[in-house]
Amino acid sequence: MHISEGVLNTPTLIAGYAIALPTLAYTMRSLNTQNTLRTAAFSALFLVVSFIHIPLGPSSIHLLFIGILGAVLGRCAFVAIFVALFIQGLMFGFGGIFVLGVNASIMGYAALFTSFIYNLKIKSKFFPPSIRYFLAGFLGVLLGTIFLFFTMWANHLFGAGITVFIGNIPLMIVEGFISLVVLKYLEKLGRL
Amino acid sequence: MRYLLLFLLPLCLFAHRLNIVIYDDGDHLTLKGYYSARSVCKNCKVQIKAKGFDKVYKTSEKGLLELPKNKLPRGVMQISINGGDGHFEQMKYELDESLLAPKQAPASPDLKQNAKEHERKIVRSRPVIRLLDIGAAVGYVFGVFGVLALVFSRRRAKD
Repeated sequence: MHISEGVLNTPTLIAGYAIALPTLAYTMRSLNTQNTLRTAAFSALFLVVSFIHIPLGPSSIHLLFIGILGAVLGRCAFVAIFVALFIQGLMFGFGGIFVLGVNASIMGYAALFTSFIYNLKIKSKFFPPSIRYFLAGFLGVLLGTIFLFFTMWANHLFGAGITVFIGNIPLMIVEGFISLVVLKYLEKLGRL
Repeated sequence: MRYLLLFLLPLCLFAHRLNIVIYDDGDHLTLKGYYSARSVCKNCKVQIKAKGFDKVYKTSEKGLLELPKNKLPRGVMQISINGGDGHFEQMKYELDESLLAPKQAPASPDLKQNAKEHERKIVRSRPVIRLLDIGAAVGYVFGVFGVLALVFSRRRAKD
């Protein structure tokens, strides 16, 4: 999901920061003394799970937890993702500083949209909590992949975008089930 | 402004992070150890480990080390560089047999094409991620949010 340095053109990089920085400033206003520790913990979780690679044929995919962050943190998910990507870019070269705005916008907005959809109070027997928990994880990766695909398409990387999209389909399902387990457990603990 | 300073805080750490880059220069590899663009790793210990191979070298005053390909082991080798005082980096590198084949002289009359073929090939691999680095990164995340919490608590106290 991380776009590396040197792949995107300058207007895209500028656009990435133009979207990410105001969103960061806005979402930071949601942080307070009560939720800062939780945001920090989930930011660290996001950073660590990125190192868990699942072998998939000749390549491998890594976990993201965008949906879980969106569901648990709400607006603060954007700050958590931005900080984690910043540290990742500097320390490990995953993504990078110039492309941070684009990566943060892709994953941060996926988390924000997931949070919005997750918090819609749909009361239906066809929409039990388990489906909602699964969809949180599934949608997080799906939306992130869609944003990533359009970013790559805008940079004349249509083929690579399609490959990334297809490669991330198993991740959507895997994250959906992980999200189901994690969110169900958090609800049981009364932490949601 | 204070938020900008907050995000700039970890930069001082990475100014002292030791990096390795390897250039494929035909019959030999050139290894460069550096901290930043202006600061190279002088006289640093470089260890190359592979199956049945364990040798220690030293970088020059320019932070460079030339390694003849015919004296290196085939297959995957682990290259580590130690700059002292905890400055350490390691990476995995595979010397491909095809890289050992003698290169043919460029026949293209096109100057740009010739220049491209003579271009120094950078063969840097992804560095090995250590558990310690991941722990440090988690610490940084908590550090950034810790400072944020401090800012919020002060603001609250003012209100």
